[in-house]
Amino acid sequence: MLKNARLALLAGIAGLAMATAGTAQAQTSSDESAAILVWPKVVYDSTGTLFGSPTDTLINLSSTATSSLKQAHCFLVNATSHCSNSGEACLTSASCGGGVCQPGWNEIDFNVYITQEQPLAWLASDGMSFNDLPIVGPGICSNQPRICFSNANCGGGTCLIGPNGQNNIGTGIPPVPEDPFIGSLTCIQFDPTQNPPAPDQSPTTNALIGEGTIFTAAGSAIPVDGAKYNAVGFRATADAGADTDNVLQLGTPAVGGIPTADYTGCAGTLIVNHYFDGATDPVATGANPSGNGLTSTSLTLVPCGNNLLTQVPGSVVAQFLVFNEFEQRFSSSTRVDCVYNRQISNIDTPNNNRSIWSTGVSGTLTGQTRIQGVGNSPSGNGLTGIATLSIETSTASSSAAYSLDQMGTNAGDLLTIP
Amino acid sequence: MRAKHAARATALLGVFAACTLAASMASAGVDNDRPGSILIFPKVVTSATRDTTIRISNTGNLANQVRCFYLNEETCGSVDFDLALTKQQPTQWDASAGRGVNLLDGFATSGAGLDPGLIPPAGGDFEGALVCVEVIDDAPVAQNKLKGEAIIRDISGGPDRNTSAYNAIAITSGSGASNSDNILALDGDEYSQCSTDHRIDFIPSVTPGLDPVLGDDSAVVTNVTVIPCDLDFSRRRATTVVLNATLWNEFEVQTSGPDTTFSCWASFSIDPASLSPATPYATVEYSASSPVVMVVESFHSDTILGVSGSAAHNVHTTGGAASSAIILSATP
Amino acid sequence: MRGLKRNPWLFGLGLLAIPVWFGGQAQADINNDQAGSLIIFPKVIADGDRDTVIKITNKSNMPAYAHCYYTNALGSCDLTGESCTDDGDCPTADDSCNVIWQATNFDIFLTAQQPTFWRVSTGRFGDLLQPACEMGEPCECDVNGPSGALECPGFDAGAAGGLNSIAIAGVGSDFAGELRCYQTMDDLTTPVGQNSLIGEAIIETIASGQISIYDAVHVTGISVGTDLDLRLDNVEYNACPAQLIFASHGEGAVADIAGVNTTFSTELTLVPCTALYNFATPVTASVNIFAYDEMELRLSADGVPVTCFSNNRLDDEIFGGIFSAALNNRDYLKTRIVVNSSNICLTGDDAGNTCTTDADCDGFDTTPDGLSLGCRPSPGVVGVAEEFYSSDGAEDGHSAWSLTLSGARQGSDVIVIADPSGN
Repeated sequence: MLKNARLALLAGIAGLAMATAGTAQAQTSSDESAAILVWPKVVYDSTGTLFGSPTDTLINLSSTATSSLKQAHCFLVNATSHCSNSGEACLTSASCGGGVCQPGWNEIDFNVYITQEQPLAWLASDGMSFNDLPIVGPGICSNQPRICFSNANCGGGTCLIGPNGQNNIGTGIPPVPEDPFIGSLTCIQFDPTQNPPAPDQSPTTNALIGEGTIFTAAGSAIPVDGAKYNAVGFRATADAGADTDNVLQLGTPAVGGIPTADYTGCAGTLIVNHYFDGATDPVATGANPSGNGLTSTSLTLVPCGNNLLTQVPGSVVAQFLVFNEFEQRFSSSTRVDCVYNRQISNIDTPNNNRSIWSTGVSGTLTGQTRIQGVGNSPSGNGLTGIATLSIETSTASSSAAYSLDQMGTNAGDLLTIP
Repeated sequence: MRAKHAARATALLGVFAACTLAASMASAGVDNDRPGSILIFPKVVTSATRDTTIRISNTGNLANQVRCFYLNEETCGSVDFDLALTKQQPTQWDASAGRGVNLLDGFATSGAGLDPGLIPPAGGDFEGALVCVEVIDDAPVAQNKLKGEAIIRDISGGPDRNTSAYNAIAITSGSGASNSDNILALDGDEYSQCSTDHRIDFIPSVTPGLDPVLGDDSAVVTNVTVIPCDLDFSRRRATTVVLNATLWNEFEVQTSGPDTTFSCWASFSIDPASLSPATPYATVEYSASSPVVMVVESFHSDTILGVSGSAAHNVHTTGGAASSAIILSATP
Repeated sequence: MRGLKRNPWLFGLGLLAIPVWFGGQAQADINNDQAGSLIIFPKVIADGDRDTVIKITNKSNMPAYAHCYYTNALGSCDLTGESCTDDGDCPTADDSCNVIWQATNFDIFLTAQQPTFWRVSTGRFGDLLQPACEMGEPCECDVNGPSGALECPGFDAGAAGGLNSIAIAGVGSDFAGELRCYQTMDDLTTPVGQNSLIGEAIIETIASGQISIYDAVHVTGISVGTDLDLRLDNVEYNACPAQLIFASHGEGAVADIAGVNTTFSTELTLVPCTALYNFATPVTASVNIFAYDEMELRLSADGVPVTCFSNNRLDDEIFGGIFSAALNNRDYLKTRIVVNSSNICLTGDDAGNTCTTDADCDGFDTTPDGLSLGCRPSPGVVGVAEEFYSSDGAEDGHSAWSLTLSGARQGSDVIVIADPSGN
């Protein structure tokens, strides 16, 4: 009894802490142009080994700059786990036949030169080679109406490649390094006019928008299923104290407010509105049944901070508060290393039916989960991510991705780049 | 003897009328025979049997940027696109197909030459107009370096030879300066004024409305296409205009009507029903309630053989310069 | 022990909880991912082929009340009776679409931190006796026989209905339009800027079970007054954006996706930010749409009207073909939707005409709280996009996403709430 009372008090305090953390508004967004974009979930599986069906991800990156060339310096993080005994890609140790499914983390980086107002898109499986680049020439000489491929063709003039003299030359996007692949992508807007290029804190920063679409070949009934989400954006503050070194300060530290934030910070609390796993799709009942589809939700979380210079991924403990429609509340926690991608009813247990995220335990169809990052990671405790809802019927499956809602601001994360 | 005198009198009257017409042509800076800053192609049509080729030339020695608007008569909505013309560059495209951008187009193909920009297709069933405006970085500027023509061609492959051509109506800069905003004031100050009064000579399409060359078993229909100079591309709002028609036959008998009321765009055949009596040749003056531009296309057909030919021409303005405005949609 | 009975932990939480969100925090822009005092679902479909599930969460530790409006923009063709939203949907050229833009309203009540949902076509039945789901048994909603509404476990959000009554009425199967909910005091009428509401919508194709999800548009309350004119002017509520931006495939673009030859089509839904529920008058906004391709080449459709609810595929003639992938291989596009910034007569005989002062607008309306609806800035718009994937000619999957919001409008939108007293 006393223990319950203490626990109740602690829960109340924790809840209050979560409820009041960062009463200032969260500042990352999924609906504004930004200087850093994060695609939390990039997946590729040509044969369905990991995901059950062939899967690929279409990455969309567009510039909202109206007059200048922008450079996106991108980091593709490979978080694919492998069995310790076979080296095969895996999601859980259960698939390793006695081995352990060991998480992996390494990154490759590349540049995307994107012209004014230009949209670009590439599949994770293909990348974008020189042959795929839209604006690489030929161009027109600035001093005469002559087709050219370089300034040498223009007899003293400049070879203007592209309608506004900008081009994609220098872009090279590699395909994902293995199949199957799970990872994330982060692109940072650089100013190509600087030598060497550096993070863009100029007045024309915050010019990138992005989306990711996870495609699944869902079977003969539904050959192609897509789940589209907006990339998470961090806006450059362009404040007087913002610098362009390789340590990107995301948000202002809670203590002393120093150093000045280079970019807006991660949310203090993420909020996911979801079905509990195992809920019957309400559209399946009533006048127009659609086959009694069962719902499940997967959650993808990535730490906001990472040290890409020393190859030390961010590591954050995610604390969860789960509310059902009866206002009842449960809690859990888990560690988020690099990329965390899991069905919600597997967060707290391998037995889905006994999870606090299952309908049989929570008791209602929908719930609200609040997520807060804690811990001592030198890169900070911020988290960001997306959720994916899946509905399975007897004949087909469908999925849809959506952004996590945000509240408050995390006390400063660090993204250190080479 | 009396008939001979009557014929001569008629001929002389015709000459006198022609001279009078020539003398009364007012030049308001809205012309079809000199370059301007705004080009209006009042009649752009595409269908299963017809297509319109648009030609635009930059008459200046500097590059010129142009912003063009297709006006769809059905919705009074517009689609706009951008052209970049090098010095003295001519360009052309078919309205139905538009034109892409491909620097490697083969020699002597339809896309050969420096592509001026991406031009959308108007589609296979379009009626409307095209308005092009000189700009620099999307801001209107009056340089008076554009000229254009439209060729309406028969594409059916049949015996008809309905190919017509007319000059785009060019509006020059006014006496003042342009403020480079998206409201193009055709007030004589920023740009020249359009006219409300237009005169068209035509062969009435009633008996004896005969083609003077084909003679019996022929017919002539004269089609007028008109759009108001008050255009609002930002809002798809149609200006309603009333055209009052005054007609004269070869006996100087004046009649009036029928009047035509339209909004956004209209294409109609001249109705000579009020002519009394009808003569082989007549003239009509349209007075509009607000400034307009017009173009005429006449169709001459042999009713026995079932073939026709057409010819378009520009219309004389006879005064009535008045202010209007073309409002462009704002660019990001 | 987990179950239906009250959890003592909640008492701890309740005792210690402090209402820290009352009054809200100022924010520069409306958004899709942070709570607001006004939430807009631009695309709500319940037409027999597709249905929508609305999910709303109260993210605060205080109860939340809200008043909601459905607006149905689905009409019928005069000659054929087919459903339509504009003349272009009718099969014959001489037919016209008779749309009434019917608005219906209802109230919702959410306890602290409560999530809720309902299916739009059927609504939700208020039944506290609906048992909670149990382990090992299907968790689903029952159908209330007389009404067809769903009876689901959990606190029913409908505030007007008592026990065993319709909590949230269903709209049936002839609905295509929008939903808006604004947060109120406990009288379910007076606006309040508590910024507690978060919403998503799931659109499902009934036959296939394919789903799309989008986040509602959340409008933050800043300094919310008690009158029934909700001003989206960055003083009372955040203002609507100056531009909407989205990237999409060219209409009809084809790509090999996961080994399947896939054709892309996108549907764009826009609604005006301004709404005049008190006057039951549809509002028309006007936007210019600029589509840029990978070659930076731009085509634009000018003055596209958005009347009440605009829901069109990108190959609809209203866009003039600017999105076609067939033109110059425009496989991928980025589009800016720019709101017209000129002043127009919002109501009266000159509604839609540009104006300089109220004197230019004959017969304009004035709200009961004295706000002139004469010469005002042209309404802003918000919206959502949905992409459809087809192979071998049949449409398969679909996916929705939120539009990027850019800039703050210079002008002010207003939502005029219907006065319950009938004034």
